Amino acid sequence: MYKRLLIVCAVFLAFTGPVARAEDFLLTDEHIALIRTNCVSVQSALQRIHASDGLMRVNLGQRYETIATRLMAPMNSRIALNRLDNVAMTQTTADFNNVIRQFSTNYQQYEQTTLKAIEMNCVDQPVAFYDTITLARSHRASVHDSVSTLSALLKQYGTQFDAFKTQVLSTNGGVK
Amino acid sequence: MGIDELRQDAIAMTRWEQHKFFVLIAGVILLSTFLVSVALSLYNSSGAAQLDLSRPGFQEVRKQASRDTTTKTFPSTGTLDKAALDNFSKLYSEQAAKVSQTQGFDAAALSEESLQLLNADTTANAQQVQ
Repeated sequence: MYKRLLIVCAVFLAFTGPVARAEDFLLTDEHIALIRTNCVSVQSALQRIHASDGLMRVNLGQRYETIATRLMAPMNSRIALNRLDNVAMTQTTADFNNVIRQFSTNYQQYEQTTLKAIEMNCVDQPVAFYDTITLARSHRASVHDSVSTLSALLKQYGTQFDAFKTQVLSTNGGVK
Repeated sequence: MGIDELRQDAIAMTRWEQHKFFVLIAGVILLSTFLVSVALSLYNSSGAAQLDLSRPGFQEVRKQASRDTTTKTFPSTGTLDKAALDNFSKLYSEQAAKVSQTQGFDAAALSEESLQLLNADTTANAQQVQ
């Protein structure tokens, strides 16, 4: 009986022995050593990425706001004032504004996670550092999804406007 | 008022009267600390911190931030004739093109290939250099 117990324990330890779990990826001692060695240079790379991401966020955010407030909103207002109907464009504008807010939230999460990875003592906490990088990747993917959705909505609004323009010009020759 | 009278007044003062000024200064400092904490909390939670390129670490990219002063606002009133529709189409196409030029936040920047976090060659090269 003791023999069976020892065998079960040995099998158990063999599978849960000197490894650390990080998300779904199993980090071995070798991986942890590599992380300790490489993490300082990775943190330098992260700092550069963090800076360029900040710039991209500011520039992209500015462009989105410009499009939403200086183009979409006035056009929708003008359509309504001319008593023309285009619910689809209004809906697309609302969706665009919602996704801009989502983009802002997603970026905030991503930036805070990246900053945490940069400021962490990665030599003392290699597993936590790896987990933070993995989380940052996931958050970056969310930001990328928001950007893709915003691009799709821009195209959609453009297409809807072209259809609206064709309709208005063909039926009325323009509203005067 | 002579010095003796002042001394008598000082002795007659209550504890509160003796420490009024100190309490005033301490209260002002506490109030300022509280208001600054609230402001900092709002700064971080509202997302303004992510847009602030004056933070440390952004010196190199600060000058590259664009300030859009050239884009005209499409007028929200007026007729919708061909000229107005063409004007909007031109403005919109310009802005949409600027956005589509940017490949925002793709996964490659943080990928393992890019960061080389688990790359043994980096360690080997460092040892060779030493």
